Amino acid sequence: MILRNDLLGIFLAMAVSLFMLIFLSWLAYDRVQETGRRTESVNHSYRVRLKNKDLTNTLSIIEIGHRGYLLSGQEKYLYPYAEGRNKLKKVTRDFRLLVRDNPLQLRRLDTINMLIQRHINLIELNISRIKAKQHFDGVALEEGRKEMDKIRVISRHFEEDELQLLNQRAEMQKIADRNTNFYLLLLSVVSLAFLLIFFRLLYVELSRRISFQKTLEEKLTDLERANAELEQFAYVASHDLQEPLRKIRAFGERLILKQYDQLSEDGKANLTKINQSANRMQQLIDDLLLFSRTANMREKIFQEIDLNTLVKRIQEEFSDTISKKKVTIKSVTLPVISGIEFQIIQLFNNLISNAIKYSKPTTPPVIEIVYKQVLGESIAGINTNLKENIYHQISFIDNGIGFDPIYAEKIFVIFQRLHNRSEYEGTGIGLALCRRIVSNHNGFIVAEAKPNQEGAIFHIYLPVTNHLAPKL
Amino acid sequence: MNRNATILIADDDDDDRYLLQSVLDDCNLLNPTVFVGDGLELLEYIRTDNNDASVGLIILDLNMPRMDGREVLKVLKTEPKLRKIPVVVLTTSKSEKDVNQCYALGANCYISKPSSFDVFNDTILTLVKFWINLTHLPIKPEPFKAFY
Repeated sequence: MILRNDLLGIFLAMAVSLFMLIFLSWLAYDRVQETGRRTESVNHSYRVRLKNKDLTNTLSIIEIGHRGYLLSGQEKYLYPYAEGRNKLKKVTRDFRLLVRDNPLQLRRLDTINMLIQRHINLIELNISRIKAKQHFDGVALEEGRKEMDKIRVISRHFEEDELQLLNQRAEMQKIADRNTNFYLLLLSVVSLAFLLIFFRLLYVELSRRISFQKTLEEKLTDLERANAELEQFAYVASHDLQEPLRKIRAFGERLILKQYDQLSEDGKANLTKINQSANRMQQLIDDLLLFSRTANMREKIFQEIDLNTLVKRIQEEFSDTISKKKVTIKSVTLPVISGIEFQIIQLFNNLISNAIKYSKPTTPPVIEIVYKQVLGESIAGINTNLKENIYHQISFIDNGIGFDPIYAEKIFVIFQRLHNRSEYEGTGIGLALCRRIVSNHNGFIVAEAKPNQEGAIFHIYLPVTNHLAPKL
Repeated sequence: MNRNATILIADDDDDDRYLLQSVLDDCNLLNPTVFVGDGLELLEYIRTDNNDASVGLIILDLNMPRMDGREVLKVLKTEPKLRKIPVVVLTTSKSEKDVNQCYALGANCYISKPSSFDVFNDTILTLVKFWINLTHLPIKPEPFKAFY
């Protein structure tokens, strides 16, 4: 089964079966037609033989009529003669028509016609002599008799030939009938074979799909279990892990409040470190929880979001920072998209705050938001079957410190940081969260570093028609 | 609330009891503090207490063995004799669901167990002051040591 993995096989089998069926129908029709033709030709032979008899009979009537007249001189014998002659014209004409497709018989008929003509001439001669009260010409009569004999001989040959032809044709028809039966049987068998092959192809394909579906269902169950475990993990992280951490922080704080002055310098430094680490741990746990909550798509509703309003809202939210750091945010008209609102807000929030955070200390940050629609094929590393899809491409272009292009992928990994914490604070959750959100919306996010460390560009791609509402 | 009213604290965690006691000590309240380990103990204490007005404030943890905070809250706020006692829910949970549920059951205040007790101090002091004022409105409240 070369074509096993393709629907083409089924189409091919279907086409062949259809072709076979049409061919079979045509053949059956042709065979029936052929049988009809053969029957027709047998009938034709019978008609020729009848016509031949008719001709001899007519000649006999003419013969009897004119002889009667010659012997008796009575006019009444001329009636059958005249009738015979009249009929003769019609018979010879019809005969000619019947045998026109057979050159041999046609030649014979011509000879017969010639002989008849000569015979008739002799008869007419004698009849006119009787009418003139003369004696009939015995020589002419004898001549006429001879002509008649010749006609009879030819007519017999004619008859024999036609009989032979008839036998031949009957034989051929028998063979043709036998062949027809054989062909019909053969074709039926072949068609049946094709039907079986077709069925097998379908069966194989169907079983493959059923087993594929089973695997898919198993995977889905696994996925559901994994999701449940993730939720369990989130619960554990939020309660059980935070409980001792909270105590570390609380006791640490009590210690600072009550006994700080009694501690040695070394002890104070250590205590501060303990507190800082505990606070950072708290931050990491909070971020991890936020991330896992974002990953969990349950009960998230897709709705229409006007990105222009959204950008305005974020600008207002950041207004303090914007005026303090002299940030410029320029945005073209953005589309209305379908998405989970709080996640999209988070996405824009993270990207804009990142651009502000990683600005050059000397240059005031400028963030440009540009938009266009693109085909899926323009997104690097996209799945083949998504290449035809249309995406909103929203790009955040900044003039900040940028990044080394080799880290373009790495920056999206959770808790991955490119800078020392003392330079830029944070846990490294921001872009991981962005990627999570974008993939929740069946989209993509790509980071691009401008050359010469002149800033970074983050492209987000969201499908124009987001039919895929969150499942599970 | 009587100025010597007891502050009753239900919490099963020894560390938290210790922390809470030390924080309350910092508030310099005159009120005695009593600790119980779960809901059943709390109800037992409050019912066998002869002095009607002896318990003036309940600080309640949600997750406790035998009878948890929600169940206690339900009992406290449905018994006519007990429902006037203010209840502060003090728990690790920050979930909105828990907060809403506790307020629906009649909690007077909900505080997530903090790692920093500054806010907690303020909250407890405000509550104590408020409840004393409220229950002693016709009488001039005596100033607490903590509020001078």
